[in-house]
Amino acid sequence: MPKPSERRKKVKYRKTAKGTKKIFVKGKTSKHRCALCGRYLHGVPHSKRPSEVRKLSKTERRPTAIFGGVLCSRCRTKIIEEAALIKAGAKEISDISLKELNYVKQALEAME
Amino acid sequence: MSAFEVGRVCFKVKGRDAGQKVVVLRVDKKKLTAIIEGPKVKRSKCNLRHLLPTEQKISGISEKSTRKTILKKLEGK
Repeated sequence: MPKPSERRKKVKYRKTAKGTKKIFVKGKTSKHRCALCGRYLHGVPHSKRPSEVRKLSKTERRPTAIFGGVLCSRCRTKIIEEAALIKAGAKEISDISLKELNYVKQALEAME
Repeated sequence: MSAFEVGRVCFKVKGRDAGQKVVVLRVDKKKLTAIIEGPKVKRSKCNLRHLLPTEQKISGISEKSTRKTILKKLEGK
């Protein structure tokens, strides 16, 4: 995080009759990425002002499925399939890679 | 013999109800869909591709049985 003294606003310059004019660029939210595979997430608002996102309802800010807004749909199905294998005893919890361990545990609780 | 039969306990893998436990009430082999119902899932049609079967199976239920009897039988599983 840059020191307050080093912070600068993004600036665009525009030619006008009197000369070049300084325009401050407003910060917008970026596109969200999946926690495991880094793919862009669907169903999550982006390129909006943070104040606009706050006005949206909870279901407009992210999908209602489990891990909505955190994992992409492909990783979500993979995690649920692995959790189902563990419930059926075909797989041990120690076989799960560390990256997915946290999500598999949450899925196991949700699938009771 | 396909894994999807009436009474088969499955998990929904895609969609809003991903991760929920459901039981199959009817299988339509031509359209590859099934009628499912579960504790947190209303009775509805579902594509077989969105279902993950488990070994457990429930007997004595059919499309005609009410939601109450289905959920009572699903409690143990």
